[in-house]
Amino acid sequence: MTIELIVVETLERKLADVPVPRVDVASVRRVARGRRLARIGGSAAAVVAALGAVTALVIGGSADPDRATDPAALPTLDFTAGLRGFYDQQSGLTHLGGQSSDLGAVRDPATGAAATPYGLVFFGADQSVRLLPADGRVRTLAASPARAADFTPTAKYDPGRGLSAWLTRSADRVTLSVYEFGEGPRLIGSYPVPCAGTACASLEVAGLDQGIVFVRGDDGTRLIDPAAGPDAGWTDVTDGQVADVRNRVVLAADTDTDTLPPVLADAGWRLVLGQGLDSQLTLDGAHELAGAATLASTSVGGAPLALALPPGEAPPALTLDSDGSVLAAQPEGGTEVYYDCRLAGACVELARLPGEPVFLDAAR
Amino acid sequence: MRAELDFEEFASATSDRFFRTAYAITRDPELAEDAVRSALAAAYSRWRKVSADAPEAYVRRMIVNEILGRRRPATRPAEAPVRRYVASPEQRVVDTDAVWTALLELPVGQRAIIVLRYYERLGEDEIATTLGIRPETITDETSVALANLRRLLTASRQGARA
Repeated sequence: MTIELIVVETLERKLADVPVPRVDVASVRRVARGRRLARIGGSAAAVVAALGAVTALVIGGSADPDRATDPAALPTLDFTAGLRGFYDQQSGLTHLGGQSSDLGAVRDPATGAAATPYGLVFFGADQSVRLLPADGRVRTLAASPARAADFTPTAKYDPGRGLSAWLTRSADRVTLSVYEFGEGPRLIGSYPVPCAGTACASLEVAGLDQGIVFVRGDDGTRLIDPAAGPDAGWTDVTDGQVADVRNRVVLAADTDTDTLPPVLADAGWRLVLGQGLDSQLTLDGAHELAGAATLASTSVGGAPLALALPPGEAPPALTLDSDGSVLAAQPEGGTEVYYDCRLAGACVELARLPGEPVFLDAAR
Repeated sequence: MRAELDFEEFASATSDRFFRTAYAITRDPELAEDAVRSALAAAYSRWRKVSADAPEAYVRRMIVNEILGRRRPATRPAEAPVRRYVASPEQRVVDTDAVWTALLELPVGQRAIIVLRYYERLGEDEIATTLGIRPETITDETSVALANLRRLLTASRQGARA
């Protein structure tokens, strides 16, 4: 008998005797939903309800979208420890910046958002881009595109450059816009994204790092560097889909290539295969958030990083907060316990809420 | 709803074998269960696309990547050289306990290749895709893993005699 046959027989015999745990599909779904949050209908509706209500409450449906009415309507928010944004589906209370508020009735079928140190970047129903800063006075960063089409706009934030990038869609095109925060906040450029037909609907901002914007769609991921000025063009990154980009680490959900285009590879960027489209990277790009309390290293042979979460009944849902900490929601006794976890430190309990976890920065 | 049912059917049909594969590589039932759950969740979150294109291969790849903690680098680093020696310890009577113990002592990357090749019965191209390495290296790495297995078995038998 050859060693190969011996191995085959051994594996078959030994593994047949291993007790196999029952697959809990609900638990699988929970992990998946915790990862992608607002991309699933119910959770998305809850998030956008809250954001839409903020818009309705503060702007009051004014013809002037920049008009910020009664700031007392929202409490002053504290973003120094991150946005800490999540939503209680049962009570309708929104938890943001250390406060919890009843933001009123659902109005806008708005969509995803991005957590930034300047506040929450989110979209109105008409794809106008808005900022909810710490003073609670919603500002419009970009008006609705002309003839706005049905689309799920997405945004990303680059903490290294203080830039945000978002996609919106009008009747005839998808446009990438790049906005600079800081002393003189301004829109620094808009770029049409090449797409045709139904493929346009799938486009999302996959990442924004070192000022370079990554846009993914069903046919792959491409990048553009706005620093190149008016002549900036699109470069293909991979036929697969990039999940996130941080600190020159490109996290791909799937890819048919092991290499990055020269514009990235020559500058020391790394391509890393992650756990799925809803994985995120820590700000330093060193670890991957993927529905487990232990974050895998993105380096070959690198040490994983365990969040200091107490033992849970199921894997936690995770998202990266604006300050680089990790927001976690972990089931316990029929509730979701929300924590704010330092990467190399303690996890602080924020709240205990019923229902599936819903983070406000849900369009990553 | 159809997609939900499809996913449930897929998970039910494949998860036992995925768990056994994961267990054989990790040697740890909890890590194996976590890896399978995480990989299925990744598949579920993009089921429409995954289900249209070899979902088993996708989930298997996710499981193995999760276990190995290995990511796909732009260039694959060289692995430590392994001695390629050894006398054949094949026996007429298969001592599955000894072989199993030896399998569990292999480096995790070599054990993954062995499990994918001889339990999952994957071809070299499929193993290469699963592990994210070049297909031409699989033959060589399989030989190295088997050689190490022989060496471990030989050492085990010599230890038993001493």
